[in-house]
Amino acid sequence: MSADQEKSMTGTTLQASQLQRMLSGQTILQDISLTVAPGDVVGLLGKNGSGKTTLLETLLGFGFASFGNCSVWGEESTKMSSDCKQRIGYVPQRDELPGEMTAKQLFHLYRQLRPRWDGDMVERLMPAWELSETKRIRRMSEGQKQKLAIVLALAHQPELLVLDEPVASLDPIARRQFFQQLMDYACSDNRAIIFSSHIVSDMERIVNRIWCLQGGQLSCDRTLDDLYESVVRVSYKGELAQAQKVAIEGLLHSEEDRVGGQLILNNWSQGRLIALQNCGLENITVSGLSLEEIFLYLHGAKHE
Amino acid sequence: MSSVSQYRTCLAYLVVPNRAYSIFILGLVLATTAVSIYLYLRGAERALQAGWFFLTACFSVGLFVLPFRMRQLLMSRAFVLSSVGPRVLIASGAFICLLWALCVAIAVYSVEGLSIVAVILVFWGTGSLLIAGATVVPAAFLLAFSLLMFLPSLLPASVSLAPLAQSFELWLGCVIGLLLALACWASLHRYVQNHPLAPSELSLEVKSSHGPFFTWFANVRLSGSDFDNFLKVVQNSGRPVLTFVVGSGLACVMWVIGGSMLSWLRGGEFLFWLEFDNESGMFYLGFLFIPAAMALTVGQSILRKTRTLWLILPGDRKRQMKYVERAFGVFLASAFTPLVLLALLAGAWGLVPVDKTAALITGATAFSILLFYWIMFIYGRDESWIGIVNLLAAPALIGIVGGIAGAHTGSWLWMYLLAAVIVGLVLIIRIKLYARWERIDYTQLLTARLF
Repeated sequence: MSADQEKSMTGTTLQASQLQRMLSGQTILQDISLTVAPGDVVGLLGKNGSGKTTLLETLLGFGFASFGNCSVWGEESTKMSSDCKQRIGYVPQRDELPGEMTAKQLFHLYRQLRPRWDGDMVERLMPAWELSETKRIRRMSEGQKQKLAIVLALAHQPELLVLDEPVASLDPIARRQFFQQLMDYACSDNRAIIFSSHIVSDMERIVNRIWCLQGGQLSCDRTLDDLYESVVRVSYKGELAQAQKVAIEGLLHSEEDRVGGQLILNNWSQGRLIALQNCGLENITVSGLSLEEIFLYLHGAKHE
Repeated sequence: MSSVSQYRTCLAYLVVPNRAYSIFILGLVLATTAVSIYLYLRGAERALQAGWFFLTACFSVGLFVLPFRMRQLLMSRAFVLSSVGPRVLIASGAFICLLWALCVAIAVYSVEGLSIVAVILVFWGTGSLLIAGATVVPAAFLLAFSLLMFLPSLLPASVSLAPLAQSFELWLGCVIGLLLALACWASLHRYVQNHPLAPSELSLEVKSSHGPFFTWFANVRLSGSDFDNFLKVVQNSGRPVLTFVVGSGLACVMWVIGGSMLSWLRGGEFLFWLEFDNESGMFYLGFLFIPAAMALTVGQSILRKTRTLWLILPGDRKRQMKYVERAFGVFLASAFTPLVLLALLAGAWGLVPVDKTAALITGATAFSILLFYWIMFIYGRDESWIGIVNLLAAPALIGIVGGIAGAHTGSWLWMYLLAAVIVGLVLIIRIKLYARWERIDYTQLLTARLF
């Protein structure tokens, strides 16, 4: 291993700074700055059309940033060296597998393209995921293709794994197997994972960091623990005037009933508990939210 | 291993295809023989001759696989380290080529016994060139369908080789062909000497596919070569192109054979193949159409699939563009080489008017240069050859376009000038394309139904 590689192993895996991306005159990504370090398992959340795929593809150098820059292990992503590419695994949103090949032929081809091919892992995963090596890819179902794409992305032991909605076509059993595999993978040293998914309940079992894209901007870049601690549900007894509500910082949602109400608050801290008590509220209890609820509240979907 | 068994091993590897393809070939031979004999017994006097011509044409198609397999063996570490040396391999290939030349000679002799030596010389020259060169898959298919489509024009009722035999241009063509053959042999020999061993990461992939024979070719490639892997990805799933070619080829063949059979069954004259007489314009037009249509489709397909390879293949965008260009060049050369070869054959058989032999000479030269172009595409270990190859390809293209157009219009100078302008424009477009590709956005390339 070269000195540069060794250095990059311990440093930042991926970095983007003030990233902006325009396609056909439309701004898709705006002012995005982020870093991914070894060990990070990042979940990318966002509504349809929020720019998740564009962000992932831009980070990996498929397209050029209109402004700002992004680098992978210190190399500009659109000019990555061969060594750098060998350390990346990618599962695209839509399968790009050659339909005329069988999985066996494809593995043979990829083995030549990937020096660090882990044949044992492939041999273990294929039967476990009920994939046939002799079936032509075009005859496979969407779920099977997606599984195969995941196997291909994992098989060369990448240090950065990027998955763009990898579980969209998977059944619940396959999803569970996939996340188990991903957890095993994430436990290895110097690995980083970024994946987008709409199935948030699955995601929260594995990620330790969350990115939320909203209108092309990164509205949230926090660790999962931080997110759980900072976005909370506050239940209370008493009455809160409209003016007091407006004054509450980070209020995402509020509900009232006859005896009290609930507030969903962002950027929660102990100091704000005292502030709420000063508003005359009683029996204040603070509880956590699931990631799905957090996502919905952050995106305003629960206002209705 | 004795020298006889060495030759036998080489010959077996070079000529015996895998099971699926063997069945196809055997079926073709048996069916053609049966139909020819049946038609002959029913009174069609030219049926046997036509059958022989057809099988010879099929042999020609098969011949294109020969240099390809030779290259596989030459690049194989296991082969070079074995007791079977490259010289045995080359000699085996040459033997097969000689057999082919004899088959063609018999076919020609059955039509016209004169000047057979000159014809063999021409074929031997081109055959040697084929052995010295290398080939890729589309050429075989293209040649097959071109032959099937235009074979009628190769079977005129009466062919006189005498005017051609006395033609200065023909002999000049033979000399040029042989000289170029020697040059190619020398380059091959030098190549073998300079590269006795393939890089250690390369290995030979000779296992046969048990699938349909169309998938057979894709499996015979070098393992570990980035460019071969690129070709494998972009061409393996070229089934739409093959479907198009197979479909259109079969439609034409059915039209020719079906129409002829129908005419004969209705009591008309037996025309096993339609004849073009002197309609050489149609002949060339048809030849040009198929590779052009294929080139467009393949080019588009390769460009789209390149997105998939961004994170897999080494190198930046510029290098990927070179891969694309090289793949496209291999395809183009392999598509046009049989075209020019067939034009030569057609001319030698008297299909193209004798006063157009200058076009044949141009074609022969262009063919040789194209073959050189082809060799470099195949043998080049990296993409640094591309620029040189393009410089060599430019005069070849000018020769082909100018020669063919000049032969038909009589305005040689203007046609060559026009061809030069067109080729110049193509090269300028190439420069622009490279500049554009440096900034290409892969996310904007369509990903749906890439394969």
